[in-house]
Amino acid sequence: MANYTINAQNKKSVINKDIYGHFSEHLGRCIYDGIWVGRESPIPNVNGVRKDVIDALKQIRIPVLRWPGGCFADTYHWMDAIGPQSERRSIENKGWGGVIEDNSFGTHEFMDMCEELGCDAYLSGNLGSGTVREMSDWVDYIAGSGDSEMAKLRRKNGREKPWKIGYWGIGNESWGCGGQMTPEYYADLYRQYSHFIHVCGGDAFSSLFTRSVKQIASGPNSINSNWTRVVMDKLSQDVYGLNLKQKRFMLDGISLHYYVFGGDPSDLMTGKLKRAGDFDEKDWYKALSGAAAIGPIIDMHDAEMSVFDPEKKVGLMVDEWGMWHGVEPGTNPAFCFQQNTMRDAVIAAISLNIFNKRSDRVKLTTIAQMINVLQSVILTEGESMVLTPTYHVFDMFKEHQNATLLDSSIEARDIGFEDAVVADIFESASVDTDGTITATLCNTSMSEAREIEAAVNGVRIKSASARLLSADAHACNTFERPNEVRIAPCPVTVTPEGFSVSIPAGSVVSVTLSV
Amino acid sequence: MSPCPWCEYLKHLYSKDFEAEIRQYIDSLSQDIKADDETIKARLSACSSCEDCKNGMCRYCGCFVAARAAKKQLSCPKPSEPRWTNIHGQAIYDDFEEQL
Repeated sequence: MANYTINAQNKKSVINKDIYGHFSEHLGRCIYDGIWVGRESPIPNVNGVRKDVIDALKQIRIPVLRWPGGCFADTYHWMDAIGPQSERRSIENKGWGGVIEDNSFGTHEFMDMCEELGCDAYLSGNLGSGTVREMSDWVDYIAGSGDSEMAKLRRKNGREKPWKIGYWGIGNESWGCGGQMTPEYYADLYRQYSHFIHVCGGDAFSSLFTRSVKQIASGPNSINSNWTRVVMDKLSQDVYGLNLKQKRFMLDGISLHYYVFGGDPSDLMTGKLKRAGDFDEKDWYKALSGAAAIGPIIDMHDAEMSVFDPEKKVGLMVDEWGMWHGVEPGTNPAFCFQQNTMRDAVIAAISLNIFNKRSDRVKLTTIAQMINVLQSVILTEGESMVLTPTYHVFDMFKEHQNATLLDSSIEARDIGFEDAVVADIFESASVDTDGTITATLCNTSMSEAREIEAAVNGVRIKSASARLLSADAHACNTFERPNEVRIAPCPVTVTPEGFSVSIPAGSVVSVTLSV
Repeated sequence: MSPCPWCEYLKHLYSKDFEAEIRQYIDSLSQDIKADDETIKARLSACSSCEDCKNGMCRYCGCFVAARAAKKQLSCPKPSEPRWTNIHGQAIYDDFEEQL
């Protein structure tokens, strides 16, 4: 039995809804056939976007969607993909399989889709191979309300009102596929690009001092804390020399990318990564301990950021994370199409609980990638769509969005192997504006169930309900058997102290408490 | 600086012999899941005349069609008008015979 304590009166940070975000990249079949099928497709669609996908994403309340990359973003030229579809310039997706894309999914289609989904749009601008003018024009094209040439062009292309930009990324993985830059060079370049990203619909002078678009800097790869330190240092200076009393940052967030590999990371370079369903007990714990390591990594970057930003105004945005397996047999390796098992679900639950617990610094995350690529929540094949175990975890955790984190702790023990140790339970708890408490827990043991005895201090529980995601560790949802892994009701007992619940091995549970 | 995982993965892909890998994969399939040779040939004939098959790859599933055609329980993923629907019927078979 594990004792679990929730201190309901000890409220901590707000869990930004954008922690539950997703990432859509022009990679494999994520955009074309995953999201976009075109208005003339026999597959039911809303303005060319698959209706089944729209409905599924609304169900998990997708809060923010990142696009168009990834590495692809630093090769993307947005003007190729506006205007009449027949006049758009086709491109070769050089990074990912060399396929020809007709650019039928561009700015209008993405922004309209975000409006349909009711989510924020997070666009990644091309710093690596673009220009300052190209990026600032794109911002103006999307969000300009005045009579600029770009706003006029948008109107000519059929959109009168500006769209709302949620976040703007300046470059992606600028230390790698985004241009092989040093942190010093990148930070200087960021300042230049950032300076010219303004939506000058109002007072052009004041827009020089207030960002109208939330800007995200390309951040470190995994443990590279030097990148974080240099970029934070260079972007937290008083660039105008105005000696402002309040320190101004030139960024709202800095990104962090973190992948866990299905096997040894070096297998990535030799093409020997194991497939999603190809793992034994040791692989299970290795992957789970790798996922759990993002906690200390976030703490390390948080410490670097806190030197310049102790009040935590700048967010750490984990805008690429997830499991990277070998591709499914017979599929194009450049498309990175992988399956998704209960192991991926547990990894998602570990990660999301870790993000919740660190929501004072982590303000946004986007799992990679939303459809048909790495740890996807949706798989499609022609007319068919499958919701993966990871999708169900996002469904079970959605009540945390914009709720307030509560102080909580559990008596966890270390399990696994010598070089693959992980805590047996991960948890987080939050309270929404109505006072309803949500607790999400996952049992990382591959073989043992855990009984949870919870004390919820400071409130009296009227009723409790729970949902469970549990199946064989290797179970996955396929096009032939789409419901092998699905959410089921779970018995939970209200006790004088709180509640008790049993979590089967390798499972995820969400408990809802009415007080 | 730590290496970029995406760049490293792409480097690996460029050095790969896809054709040999597909052949190895098909050869590794057990007889209970492998389609018979006649079915495979008929399927590939249908794929070869399909506008959604480019460079041996199907746009609707991301599969190399040779690999997909070799698994008997799989179907053609093309929406509304799957090319393999009549795989045991005369239409596609006749077409295949003509090509021979």
